[in-house]
Amino acid sequence: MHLVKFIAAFATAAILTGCAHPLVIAPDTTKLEAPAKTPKHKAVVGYYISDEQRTQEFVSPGGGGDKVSYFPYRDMDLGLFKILGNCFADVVRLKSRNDAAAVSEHRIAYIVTPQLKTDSSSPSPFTWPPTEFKVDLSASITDSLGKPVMTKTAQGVGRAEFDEFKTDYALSGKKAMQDALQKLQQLLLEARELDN
Amino acid sequence: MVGLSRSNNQATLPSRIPTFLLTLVIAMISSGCSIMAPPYSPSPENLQLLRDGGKYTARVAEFGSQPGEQNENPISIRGNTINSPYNGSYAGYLAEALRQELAMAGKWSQSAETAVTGTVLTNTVHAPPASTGTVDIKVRFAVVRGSRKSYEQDKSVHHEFPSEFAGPIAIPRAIQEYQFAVHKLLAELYRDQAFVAALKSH
Repeated sequence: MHLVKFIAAFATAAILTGCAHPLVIAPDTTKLEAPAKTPKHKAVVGYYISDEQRTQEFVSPGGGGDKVSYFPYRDMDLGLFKILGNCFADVVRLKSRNDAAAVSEHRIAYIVTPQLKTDSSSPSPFTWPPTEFKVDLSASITDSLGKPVMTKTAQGVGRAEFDEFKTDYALSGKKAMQDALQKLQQLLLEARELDN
Repeated sequence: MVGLSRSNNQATLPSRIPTFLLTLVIAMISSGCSIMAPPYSPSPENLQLLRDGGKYTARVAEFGSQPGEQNENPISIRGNTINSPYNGSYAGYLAEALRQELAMAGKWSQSAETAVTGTVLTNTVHAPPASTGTVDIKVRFAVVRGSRKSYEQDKSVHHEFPSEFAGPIAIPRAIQEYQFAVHKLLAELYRDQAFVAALKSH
């Protein structure tokens, strides 16, 4: 009986310390392909994610009162690189917001700066992986001099039930990030203003 | 833990809680589990570094591993065995990481005469219960063309991350961090102008 009490107290203490289960919500980039019939914009695009964003850890609810933690900018990086490459003639990852050397060297016409908001949830009282995940991806686009051109926002949703996430606890998050990136890709491809 | 709670659908709520807690604690202190590390995902920063290096193509030759106390294969984290997803070899993991980044940067060609190879010298991951976790990797990289070796350098990375007391939190975090240590290691290689020059030399 003492052992059960000890174990229960130990586990409760661990839960109450507020630890969040770490997830990687990077999407499968092989699924981020360009649509066959939509032409790319002829311009070269740069994108910038700050070091602060890249190391920013987000925490949101899981199931059973637990939380999950992840680094969504870091996890989005390769996917964003991929979809921008699908939409434009070339893509360059900028080292700073005003990376004049790269802008000049690569003749970058547009600069994309992403912003993310996320949420997650699960109705299960006993399983912590989120069954539903939301990723709001906003892309502010300026010209090479910093003049605003447009902002496009895509809302990604990912759902994963027990049978799916039992082998990948981050599945709903990966699906949501993939959905947001695919929707942003479509919005950018359809933006005729970026043809100029 | 998840499977257990699902398989006890007929149990009442009070009877589930001790089972859940017991399972949790067992999971927290469990040892001897065998886990597969996730596949490598390239770093956009590294892709940019490779693309900025100019015109060349290279292939990746087989990587070796020099046995040693600090060269774990598989990796052990709190008694759990972490296997490489590339034929169970961390030398294979590093070769595949390099191949993927060269390929995504448009620099990889299976028929290229220039090849990059390497020997893993150090490969450890530590996730202590109450301090900073670490990944240490050291690889001797070489660039070869036929029988001529035009580059040979040791590159190493010491990567730190916050560790946790609870194993179910700390172990997945440590496994995730391995890939980011490899990103840093390969970035060191790509920033080496002698490496880039060796790839471009004929």
